[in-house]
Amino acid sequence: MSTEEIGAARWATLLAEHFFGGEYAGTHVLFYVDRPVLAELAGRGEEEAAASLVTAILPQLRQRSHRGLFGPLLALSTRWKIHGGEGPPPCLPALGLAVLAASEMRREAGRSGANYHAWFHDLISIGVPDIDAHDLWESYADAYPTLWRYLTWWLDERHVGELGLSTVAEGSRSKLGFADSQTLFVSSDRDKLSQFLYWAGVVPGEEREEVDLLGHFRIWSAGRDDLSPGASLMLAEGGGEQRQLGHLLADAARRWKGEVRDDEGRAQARLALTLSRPPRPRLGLAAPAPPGFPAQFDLHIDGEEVRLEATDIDQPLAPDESHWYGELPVEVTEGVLAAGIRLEGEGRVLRLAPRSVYVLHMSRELGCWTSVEHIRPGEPAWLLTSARHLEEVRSIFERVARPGWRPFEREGAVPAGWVLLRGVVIDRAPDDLGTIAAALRPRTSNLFELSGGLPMPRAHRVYLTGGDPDVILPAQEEEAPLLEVELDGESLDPGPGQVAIPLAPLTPPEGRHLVRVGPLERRYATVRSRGAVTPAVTRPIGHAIEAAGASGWGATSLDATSEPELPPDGVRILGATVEHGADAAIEEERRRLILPRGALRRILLSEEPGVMEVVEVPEEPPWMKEAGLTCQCFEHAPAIDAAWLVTYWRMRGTAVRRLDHIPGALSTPEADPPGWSEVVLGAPPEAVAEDERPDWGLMRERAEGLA
Amino acid sequence: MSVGGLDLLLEWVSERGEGSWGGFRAAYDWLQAGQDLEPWETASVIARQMSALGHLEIDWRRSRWTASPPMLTLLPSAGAHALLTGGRTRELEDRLALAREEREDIFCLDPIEQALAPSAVLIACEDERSMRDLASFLGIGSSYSVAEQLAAVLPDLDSYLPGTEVAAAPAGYGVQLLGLERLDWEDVENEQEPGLYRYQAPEGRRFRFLDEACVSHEVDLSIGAYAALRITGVKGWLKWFRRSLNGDLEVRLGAPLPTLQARAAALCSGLAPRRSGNCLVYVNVPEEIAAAIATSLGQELTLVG
Repeated sequence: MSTEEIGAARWATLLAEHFFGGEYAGTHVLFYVDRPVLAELAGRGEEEAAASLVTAILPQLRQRSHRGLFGPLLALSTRWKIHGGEGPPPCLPALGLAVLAASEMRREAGRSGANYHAWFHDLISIGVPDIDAHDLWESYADAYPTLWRYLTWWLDERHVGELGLSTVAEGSRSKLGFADSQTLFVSSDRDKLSQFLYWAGVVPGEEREEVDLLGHFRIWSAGRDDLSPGASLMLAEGGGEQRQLGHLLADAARRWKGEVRDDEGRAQARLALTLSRPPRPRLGLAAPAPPGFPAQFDLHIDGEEVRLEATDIDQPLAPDESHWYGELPVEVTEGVLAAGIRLEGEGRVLRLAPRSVYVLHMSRELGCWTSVEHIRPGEPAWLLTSARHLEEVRSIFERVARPGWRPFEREGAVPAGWVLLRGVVIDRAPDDLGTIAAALRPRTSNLFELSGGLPMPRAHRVYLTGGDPDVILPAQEEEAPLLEVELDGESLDPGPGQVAIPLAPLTPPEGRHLVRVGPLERRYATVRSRGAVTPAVTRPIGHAIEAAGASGWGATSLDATSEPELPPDGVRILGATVEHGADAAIEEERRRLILPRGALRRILLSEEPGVMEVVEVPEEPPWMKEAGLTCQCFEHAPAIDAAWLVTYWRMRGTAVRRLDHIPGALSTPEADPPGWSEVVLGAPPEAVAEDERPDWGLMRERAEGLA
Repeated sequence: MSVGGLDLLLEWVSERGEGSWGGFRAAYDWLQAGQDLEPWETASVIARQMSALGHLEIDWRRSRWTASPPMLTLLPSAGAHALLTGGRTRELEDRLALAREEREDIFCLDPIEQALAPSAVLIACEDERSMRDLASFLGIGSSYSVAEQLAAVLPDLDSYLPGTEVAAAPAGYGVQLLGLERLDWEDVENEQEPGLYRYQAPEGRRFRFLDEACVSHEVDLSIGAYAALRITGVKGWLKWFRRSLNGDLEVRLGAPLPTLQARAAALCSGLAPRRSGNCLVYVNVPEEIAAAIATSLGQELTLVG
């Protein structure tokens, strides 16, 4: 750019084009003006650019009356708004100057926010050298809030967010006011956002709730000391700053393409330790090709230039997948495992962090066991541990690992000083895992979540009573203070290093519940029952069996299938329910009587005179004794068409009861007319229930006839 | 797993009604976390036990399960005890508790705890009407003997195989052949002779039965094992030990019973088969039911005692 003076209108255009535009549509934008930005826009040095901005706004000021210094600018801006807000706000350079003062103040940590007016005074003095600080501040207070609101109006209403949404907030510190809201989150914080989004498992393009992101950002940043003072202030304060930070995080998550940058702004990725399949396992290193990495990546390894290639980098992936360059030509030595490795090239970094314990899970993408940050609950893993920490790891396994893990001993499989363990499955972490074995805390993510439990259908976070979920605590830095955890207002007091808090053992009652973890909260509900006797099933599963000629029956599938049809000549089985088809040739079920074991005698009588069956007590099934059961009765399939049961008791005498008709097994049973008559006539009237006496009377008539 | 854990699992299955296999496995894994289990006590083993006891049905191909309708059935030669099988919703449990308080013609025993299955709920009934009245009071079905009903319609082994034909498995996987003399697995290079093969695929174990015509069938372990036993003529792996009433059916772990055969055997007692060495033992199985199971699988029942 030339050295000609830049006028106010030009500055307004430059600033508007830089900070607002179609690429920010729908997202929250910061009007973060500092000297480097001004220098870039003006095409000159930082001092010169700042002076140019001040000079440009001088014609818009009432220099003769410092108490009304910004009056003309306010009037101009108001006219601009009344006429529809065409073009960038004329007050944009003046607003930029206010933000510049706030950003200068932030850069100088020693000068407190209460002195913001001094910073602004210093800047405006470049053009208005004799201005009184008090007059300046009064004029500022009269005009600037309105000017900021005009900017918000222009972004949010005039352009309905198409150039970006306003993040202007009044702020809780009146001296700093609106300008400060644009300076809290500086560019170094923005670089770290990619690390936070990676930590939070955000999938590029994913919509996450602002409140949730903000809460996790607070937890993530709690153990860090490298955020800017402004960002820390945003986290510490409530109101507008919190909302502003929430907007920024949500926007960042939405716009994030998966690229992670280190503190120096370089794209970085984590190398993975790999282990080829047994029986001849071999350690290696695999390099991922995440977003921000090229298809061909040249880097230096031990002084040699090596080219890595990811041939499928243009192929779409599932959210939980990653592209890979393949194996690195690096031998995995004792030194690599103990000290880690860092490879650089083309402004990018590949890094394997040193660990005492490496956890490896099966990777479908690589087809081998691959190192992960944390062991996943319930999933088999291999472990590579330094021999120094073997005993510590063993003692952890004895407490928390499922049985079945064992050392894998094959000479040369791993470097000296390291031990390979296989078949490791851990479901829950103990409370007292040290830092050495932090990777053994089972985790599927770093986030606070409700996990497990017995979820009910067709509802989000509704569980069966007694099946309340576990609270998975968010990952924290070692130095971070312990988070407070509450269930329905009652403190749960997690121990240091604890990953999960099971809620079910606390037996919360049926109903709604609120779990708080630090700044985050989750709600869930429990129901005791859906109130139905029979399970609600929309598509039953069962077995269809059809007639198969002389051979008997044939299955229509290898095992149970969804919605099996009932074959007309066969049966359908759902659990213990056997349904017959209309044409099925199946013998009717043999019906049984239940008879008392304790009676002296049990006699079944047919209505046909003379036909009777004396039923003896069968042996007691031995398995029942083993199962702790006693037999009071026994079931009996009658040989005759039994209509009445007569029992004889030591104390109660004789009892007679009517039976439902059950066909007998014998078609022509032997008859004993005298015996039949004796039984019928021998039963006293009171042995028969009153409502059955008329029928029994018919039996007596027949018996008397026989007699 | 703790006894209460599996009872809670059955309540969840019943209240939920249906779900995915992944959901069942997640629920089981959550319930058993922190318990001192044997490595083989997996969700799959417990699901098969619950299926054998009639509590649920599983469509392995579609990775779905559904809870079965509840049913009251008499056990054969078991002191006129009725078994409550199928789904066990909490509403059903509440009604049973009410019946227990109000009715004098039934006697509900304390549930029989089981290590590898939900507790068995048995009810002693004064007479046959009591059982039917109780079923009516509960709002569920009843049967004199589900075990007998199932045994009467067990499908023939041949009927399972049509439709299971698949291409030969790709080379390169580790593959093992089921040795039929001892029912153990031995490493082989590839599919060569008729028999049952086991592959370690990325998604888990797969079984393939190579028939006499060298056609490969994708099967489960139980069907594949009995199909292999039959073509080689190896018999005698199903044993029935006579007790004073009924008997114990002993099945090798290497050749477990298919679902319906297992259900016919398990619903003779309402108890899950107990593990004895390398066998599973189903108790209180009448000889005719044991024989029907053996016949359906192309086996001869070995009678002992």
